[in-house]
Amino acid sequence: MTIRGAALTVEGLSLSGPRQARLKALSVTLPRGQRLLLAGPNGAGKSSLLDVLSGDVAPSAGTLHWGPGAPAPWAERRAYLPQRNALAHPFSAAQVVALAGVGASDALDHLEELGIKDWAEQPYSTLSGGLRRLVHMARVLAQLDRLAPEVGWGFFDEPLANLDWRYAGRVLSALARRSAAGYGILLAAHELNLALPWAEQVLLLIGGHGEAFGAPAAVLTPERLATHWGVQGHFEAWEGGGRLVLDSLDP
Amino acid sequence: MALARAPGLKALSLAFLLAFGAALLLGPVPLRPWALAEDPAAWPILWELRLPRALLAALVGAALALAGALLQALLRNPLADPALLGVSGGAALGAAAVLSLGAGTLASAFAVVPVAGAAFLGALLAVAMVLRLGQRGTQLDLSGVLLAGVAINTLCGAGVGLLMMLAGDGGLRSITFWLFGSLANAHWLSPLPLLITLPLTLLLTRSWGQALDQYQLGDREAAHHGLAVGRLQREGLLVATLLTALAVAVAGIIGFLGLMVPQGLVRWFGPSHRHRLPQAALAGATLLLLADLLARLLLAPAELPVGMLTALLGGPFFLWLLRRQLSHSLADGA
Repeated sequence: MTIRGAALTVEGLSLSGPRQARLKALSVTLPRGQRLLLAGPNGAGKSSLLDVLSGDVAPSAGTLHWGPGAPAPWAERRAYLPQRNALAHPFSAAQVVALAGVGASDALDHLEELGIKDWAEQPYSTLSGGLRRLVHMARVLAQLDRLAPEVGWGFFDEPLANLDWRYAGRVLSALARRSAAGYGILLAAHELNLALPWAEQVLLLIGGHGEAFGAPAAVLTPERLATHWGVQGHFEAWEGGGRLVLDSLDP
Repeated sequence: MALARAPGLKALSLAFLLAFGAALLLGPVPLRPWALAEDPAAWPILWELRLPRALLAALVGAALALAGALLQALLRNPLADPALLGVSGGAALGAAAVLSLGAGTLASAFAVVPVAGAAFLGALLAVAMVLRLGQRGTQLDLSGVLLAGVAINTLCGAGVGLLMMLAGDGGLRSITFWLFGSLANAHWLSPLPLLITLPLTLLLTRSWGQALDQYQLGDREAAHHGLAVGRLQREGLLVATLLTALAVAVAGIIGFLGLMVPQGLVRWFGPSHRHRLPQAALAGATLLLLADLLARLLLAPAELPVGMLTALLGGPFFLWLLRRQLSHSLADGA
């Protein structure tokens, strides 16, 4: 399948924070149709970057180039799963997904894709934390699917947190399908060993600046693991993927 | 029409019509529809007393319940009530100011106009202050709004107390009665403001269902779906304020209706707001018609202030709701 549509180019992006800058002159070109992992230790600026890319927060400096043909309303060019969800209204799971503006059967399909269709009629507020998160994931995927693949971007802030391996796998396959269809997909995650076999490219943020962008093996070097995560480890590559091997939690 | 197929609207319309008919026919002097033609004394009762009063009850009930449904959605708080925004407090202060000046003038029908006008202005002023205090940048801080509402209501309550102390016996009496809320002074002028405003409101808000549902996601995530959050908040609070102020101005303070009706609707028809506002209007109208009927019949020929009756029924309902919520949130571990 050929990928149509433009890459998302970020140029000199900065965002000031209360104590120190959250993003520092970040420049990167994010290709569409590839599985992009946004990595970095806690406080590196991953959520800040996703906030800016989603239009939630205006950058202090820098520009975003969405390419020609990007629709003016933000809601028509990106879907965004933020790190926290605020919903407290007693909707059923299926009703939450339908908030993306899709019909009931479409909402059920999205719940089924993530393997949680059995909970469709259950009040959202009675679901466990992981299931609630999956319901929002289904809602955001439903919104993304309404966008055209050649203009749509999906930003996902830690959708794998609090999920067991089965559901993490469901989420990653759902994202892989969108990426193969030509959507731009950027996934922020701390679960590197779950996300790395999935990722084609890794954008590593350190202290708000872009430390590296490229193939997992090239980005996650033993030196960087030691310096930024304080662990001993190495990337074990195989044909078309790989995994991180943690040798010791001591630096 | 889509509305006719909406859940509950048919049943609610039927209940409303029955309640309206009962309000016209029942009372200290029962009327029989088949005897109306022969009984010359029946017409003035129907035309000058029952019809304006039933119309007023229906409109005030609809306005309060619709405002309550809107506020519960916009403040994302199932315990929100039109009184919370300071509407009732401000209206009471305005009305009390006029009543304490012209003690006893309530006997004439047109004395209602300055009282209603002052109540309306007081309500708008109070809400304007509450919203101003609850503003953070261009958006509203919802907990700030609620706290400011409590503070303004308390201040207004103190003001009303002061006026009551200073007023003469007649003034004191009319303020007390006004505070309980009553439809007893209804005449053909009193339903007019709501008769114009309420249909316009229903028209303006007819397509708000999906927006109010999305709004429950929180400001940020609702905006992700393209919802103009600030605009919905401004327009919704304006509509709720206007309806409450108009209702309070003509009928005094009728509590708990705006809280109870939307709560009942959530239980019967589920959490979606798709048809919530017309549902609330119909259910509120029905409930206040029935409450006013009870208020007229219980001690006939004397009557209870209907606001006292709704408080009497609403108080226990509110407590039950609170208990239920508390036990649920314990069960959720939230």
